[in-house]
Amino acid sequence: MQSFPYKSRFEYSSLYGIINAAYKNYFFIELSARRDWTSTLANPYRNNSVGFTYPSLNISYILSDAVKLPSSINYAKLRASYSNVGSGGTVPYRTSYGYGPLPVYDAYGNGNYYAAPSVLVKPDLKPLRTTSYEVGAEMQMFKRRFGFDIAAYMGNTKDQILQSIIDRSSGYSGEIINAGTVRNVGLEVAMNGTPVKAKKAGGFKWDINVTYSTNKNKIIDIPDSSVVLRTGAVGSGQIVAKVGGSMGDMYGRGFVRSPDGQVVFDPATGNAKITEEVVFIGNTMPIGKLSIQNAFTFKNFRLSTLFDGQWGAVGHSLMHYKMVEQGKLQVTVPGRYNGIIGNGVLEVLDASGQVTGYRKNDVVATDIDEYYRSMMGVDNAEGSSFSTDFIKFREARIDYTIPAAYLKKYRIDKITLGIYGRNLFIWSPWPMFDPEFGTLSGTDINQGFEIAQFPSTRTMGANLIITF
Amino acid sequence: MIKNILLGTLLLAFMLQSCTKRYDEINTNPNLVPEVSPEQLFAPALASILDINMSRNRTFNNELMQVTVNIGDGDGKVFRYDIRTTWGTQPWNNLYLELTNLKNIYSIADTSSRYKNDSYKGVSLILQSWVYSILTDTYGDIPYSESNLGRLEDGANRRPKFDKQKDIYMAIYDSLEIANSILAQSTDAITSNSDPVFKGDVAKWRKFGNSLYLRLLLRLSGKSEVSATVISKFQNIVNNPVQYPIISDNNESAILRWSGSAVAAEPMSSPFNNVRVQDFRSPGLGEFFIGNLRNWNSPLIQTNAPHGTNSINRWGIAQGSNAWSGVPSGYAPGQDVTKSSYFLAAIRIHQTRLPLPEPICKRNRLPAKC
Repeated sequence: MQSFPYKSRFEYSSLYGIINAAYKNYFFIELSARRDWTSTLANPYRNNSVGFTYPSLNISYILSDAVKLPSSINYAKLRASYSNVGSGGTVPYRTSYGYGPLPVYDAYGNGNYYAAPSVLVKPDLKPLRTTSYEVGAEMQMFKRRFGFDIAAYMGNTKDQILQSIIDRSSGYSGEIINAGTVRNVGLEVAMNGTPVKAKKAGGFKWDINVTYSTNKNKIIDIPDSSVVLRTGAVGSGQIVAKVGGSMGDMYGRGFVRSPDGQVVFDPATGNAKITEEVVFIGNTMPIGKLSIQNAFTFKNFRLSTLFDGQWGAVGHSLMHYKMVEQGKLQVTVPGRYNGIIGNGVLEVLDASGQVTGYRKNDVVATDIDEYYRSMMGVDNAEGSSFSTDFIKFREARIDYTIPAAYLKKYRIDKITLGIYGRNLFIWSPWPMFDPEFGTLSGTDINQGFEIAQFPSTRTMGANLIITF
Repeated sequence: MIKNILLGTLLLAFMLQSCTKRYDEINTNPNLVPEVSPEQLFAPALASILDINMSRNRTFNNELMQVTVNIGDGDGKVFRYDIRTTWGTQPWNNLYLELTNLKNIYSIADTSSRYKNDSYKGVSLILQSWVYSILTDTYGDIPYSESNLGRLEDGANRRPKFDKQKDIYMAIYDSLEIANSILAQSTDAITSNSDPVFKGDVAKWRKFGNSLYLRLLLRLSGKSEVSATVISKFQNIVNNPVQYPIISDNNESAILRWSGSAVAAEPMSSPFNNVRVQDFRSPGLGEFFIGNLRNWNSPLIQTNAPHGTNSINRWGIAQGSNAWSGVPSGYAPGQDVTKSSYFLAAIRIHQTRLPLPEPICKRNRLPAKC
């Protein structure tokens, strides 16, 4: 049997030009233009459109040098930029149809055997284009004890190159697409400060660094009414792009609900009813992220801590559904021996079977296995989807530096002793190990679907640094 | 000065432009081939379709048909007709992809200047009819007229419309009619090495197509709107063996013989090689199935020659603790049942059969000629 090593190759050429101009050392302009040609967009039938050009413009104005500001302000700068970035991606061979070899059949008969591809290529693949506008300000004040850098941006990404999932009655399971227009609007803030600083050297000092970022992702235009970007493992969980939605919107089968949002139960079994169609479950992209780093220095000791967190996103946990079905989680304990009445409503039907209203659920579900399956199991993507909000105590360390005076006679410059810990604590509504997960799928990070992750590890250690 | 810079830039741009000429070559996938011959798609497509059907048969159909009983009191047991929605996707997701291979065989044999071949066209139509019939029998209305047209050259249809089952059956009859007339005239050869079923015998493929036609006609013979035309077509076929040759003896059966190798990674090895021995033996046989074989004293379960080989009967069924007996399919949860007879794992490497009627005519008391 022959083996078939997978070969992959791409090439690009670019031409880049830049012009810098300054006026009186406080007003700067930078103009650039770039033209790229990438092989990933070429195909045997069309070779002329592999090139694309993109310009950028940056303006910055150092306010503190241009005008006289109050003495408390040490440095102030304003900036604005426009940029256009294009890319043909780094994945080759997405423009021409080909048959894949089936080496297993080589020994059969004479000759090589092939099968049609399952992913449709895009012969007229276009480069991705991102046009973004950004304004920002940077300031240092109070003898540089407080500073911030703030930036607001808006970017439109057009023709993102993605693989979407299509129904197999088309003959294929996926296709390469140029996905419409997506708008990202966001704000990034970084602040640093020294709230406490003793006058004399070696005294107490407290430094703090805060970063905050928020981003909103909105689909302005898409080539189809909805495009399935990824499918999850169970419950028809999928990431679906729709106009007005976001690239991270998760859909899946979920609870049938009454108009006031209560879960509807099945009067025969007492189990939750699950929708036939997929419903919106949540967005898998966090709205915001925040991190706070503190450092305290006193004499030869230094203590630093890092906390960070994110909020506003959901994820589906495969591990949770699986462990629920196997009865391995505490949430499945209630009702094991005497059954359980699910918290929700029953439909009130008229003679013709139409729903006329709802009443409180009073049916005892005795098949507890099936009950929890309906609530959080394989068919119900909503049941095992949870908020991925978290606050993490990411890092802490204490260092002690031995005073140089003691070291001189040993010809040592510096000795630092430290102990540290990483991933110390997680506070999160996420029921499984870690709300930060990412499953690699080809070259993409599969956001939103946790598929049996390993627990992340807490690291503790000590180190000794000797400098001669 | 500025003039020179501009000139230099233009020259550079021109040079870069010219080196992009070979980009189409760089972006041609060396791992794939752009063009194949029909025979290169044929054997793997056939083997995959059987793989899909046999796997489905083992896990699902056998349970439904009371052949096997996967003993247990848990939920979602098919033999209790507790069928989860997840069972629905397997034939759809796999067979439609194989239809792409079958349709590509047709289009290559139809339009390629190098590989024009009428016999592959006819055989492709027969196999497409067979696969579509499995799909529509499973799901009812399905995409047919617009299915498998996702490729840009085919119209880029990613959302084929659903056709009525009745229309699909009529269209299948048309394809089988066309297949019969194509194969009647075709002088093109089917490479014997690439054909695991008939070793390139086009006449046998034609017979298979017509026998399949009979079977599919039989399916609608009880539908009042079409029964008259369907029955007359049936008679037309069986009364005109020259125009519609059909399978007439066992040597003409459509059988794909697996290589017999127990290694899953070998070509044409049974898909059941992917099932562990203990898993393959795990479901007990249903009492309905094994009990009838026992009561009728069927030669299929006799272990001695000429019916059996090496003390194993034709169907590779082991006796088990209670001799030839099985588990009542659909037994109530909690009821105490004992597994007795089961399928030996040796059957994994045996042959499989394309679904063909044996003595259709006898069973349905049709005209004497057949």
